[in-house]
Amino acid sequence: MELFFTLFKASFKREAQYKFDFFVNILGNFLGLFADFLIIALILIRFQNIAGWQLHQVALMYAIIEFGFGVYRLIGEGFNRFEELILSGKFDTLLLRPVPVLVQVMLHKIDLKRLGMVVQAMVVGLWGIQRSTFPNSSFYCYLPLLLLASVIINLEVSIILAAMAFWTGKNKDIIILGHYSTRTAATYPATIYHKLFSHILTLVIPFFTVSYYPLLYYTGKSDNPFYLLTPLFGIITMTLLSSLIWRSGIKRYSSTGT
Amino acid sequence: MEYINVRGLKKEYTIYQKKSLWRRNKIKIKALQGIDFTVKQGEFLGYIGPNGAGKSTTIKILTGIMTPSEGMVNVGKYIPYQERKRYVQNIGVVFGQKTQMWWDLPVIDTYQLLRGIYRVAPIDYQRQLEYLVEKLSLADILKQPVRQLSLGQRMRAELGACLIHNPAILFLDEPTIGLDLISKHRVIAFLQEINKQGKTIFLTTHDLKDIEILCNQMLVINHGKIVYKGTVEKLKTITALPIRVLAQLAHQPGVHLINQILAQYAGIYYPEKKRLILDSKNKKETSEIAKTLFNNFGIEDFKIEEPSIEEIIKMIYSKN
Repeated sequence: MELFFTLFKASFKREAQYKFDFFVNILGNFLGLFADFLIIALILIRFQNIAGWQLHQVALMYAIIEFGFGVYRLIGEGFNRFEELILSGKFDTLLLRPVPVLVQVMLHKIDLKRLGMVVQAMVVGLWGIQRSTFPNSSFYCYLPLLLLASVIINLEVSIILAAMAFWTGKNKDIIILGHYSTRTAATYPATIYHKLFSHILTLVIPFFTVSYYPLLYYTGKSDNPFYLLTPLFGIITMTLLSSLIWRSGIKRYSSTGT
Repeated sequence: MEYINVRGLKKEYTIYQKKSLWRRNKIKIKALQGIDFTVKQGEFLGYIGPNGAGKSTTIKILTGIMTPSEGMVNVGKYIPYQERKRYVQNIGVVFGQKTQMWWDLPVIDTYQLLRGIYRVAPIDYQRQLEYLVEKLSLADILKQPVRQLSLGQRMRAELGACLIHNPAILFLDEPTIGLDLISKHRVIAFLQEINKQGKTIFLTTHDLKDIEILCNQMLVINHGKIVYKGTVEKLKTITALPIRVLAQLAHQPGVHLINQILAQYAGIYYPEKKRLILDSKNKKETSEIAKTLFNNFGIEDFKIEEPSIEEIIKMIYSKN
């Protein structure tokens, strides 16, 4: 844990070297993403609702996913840029240190400007909560866990996609397709999609397990409390899968080199 | 005591060569074809070979980054690639071409981070830091970000970084690459000193002068095989390259005497310059030649040229 902070501090100091760029970036991030949400809002205002979901309910879905994604971009930028480590051969030097490689890659770079993303998700979320009525107040206990689950799922998806670079070298496009687009898709209710695609978002890249299903219960669309457990299933499978893929990636790297 | 023990080490890779958009050729590359060597504790070993000979592969296996296809490697009590995390706590590594420091941070920050990573006790860290700052003249550059350092400064800082946790063995992959003469001398002097204090050092380089100055033992690898192992001195004697004896005579000698000498030793005489050049096969013959010349002629100038290490290595490379 001490080490975690040591590495975190290093990345933080690194970021803080360029202060002006840092603030401009935070602002830009905030505004850019707000524009994203504005588009959803405008569509919903025009059509009143999407597949039975009202604007403030979609705002909740959006906030949960974006919060997880924002925190991942904040502390896990190393995964996002993993191909640079592989292609430059810098990954070798991480293997020379007596610290888990995964932690080193994750904290290789923290990207403080993503704070804008997190704050923006929180603003949209608070607005959504204010407008919503929940079947019971357990929502407020459940929410922090759900946000944590969203962070974990986002991190694990990024670990899996980053590990692809062990086989493919470059993986930027894989990340854009597998993470950026699916996470945007997961901010809309599953019912608007073709069956196949909503299955993908449930079973393959399971963002729906932290957004759509738990909210089915809390928006009163279903009274089955089983839906509250879906994040758990999502996390368990993704934890197993990501550690398996990461480990075999490292094994492959050490048998082939770059 | 043997510190590094390598037996029958093999490494093969498969690479793919594109034939067309869809088809590709599978090519097996034998980077190491069964090499054996040992390094004793406290030894300074020079590891040389042309590009693509298998040097980097060897060093990657020895540092635990890569797993071999076959064979056995022991460094100290560890098998590097099997117990990587525990093993790397005990080694220091410098890759001349890649930095291990935090590019945007001052040197001292990197050192403090490494202190945390290797869990060095504060007292030990302070002592080691003072030692390194003095010996590597780091005082002026400690507060500068790594990206602003010159290559020579960076290499000194890099050597400091790999010694923060005071490892027993160092692996240095071309630490003098691209350095000017003065920077190089500083690096070399430092390496000599820490070797004297008992650190085992495994050095790869293209610069044979470094090896001649620094190393007691050397390994030459070519095409994935060890083609020479032993002392630098012995390397000079095993090749059949002649020792050249040059003599500038004071007076024109008798033709008969010159012919007699040229019949006995391989060589050539330039009458117009009064210069005699003879090739000697070994040290004993060299002293014989010297005796004969000084007994029979007036000598104005006399020189013995041993084959340079470059020539010897060139010959070893081309033989394989």
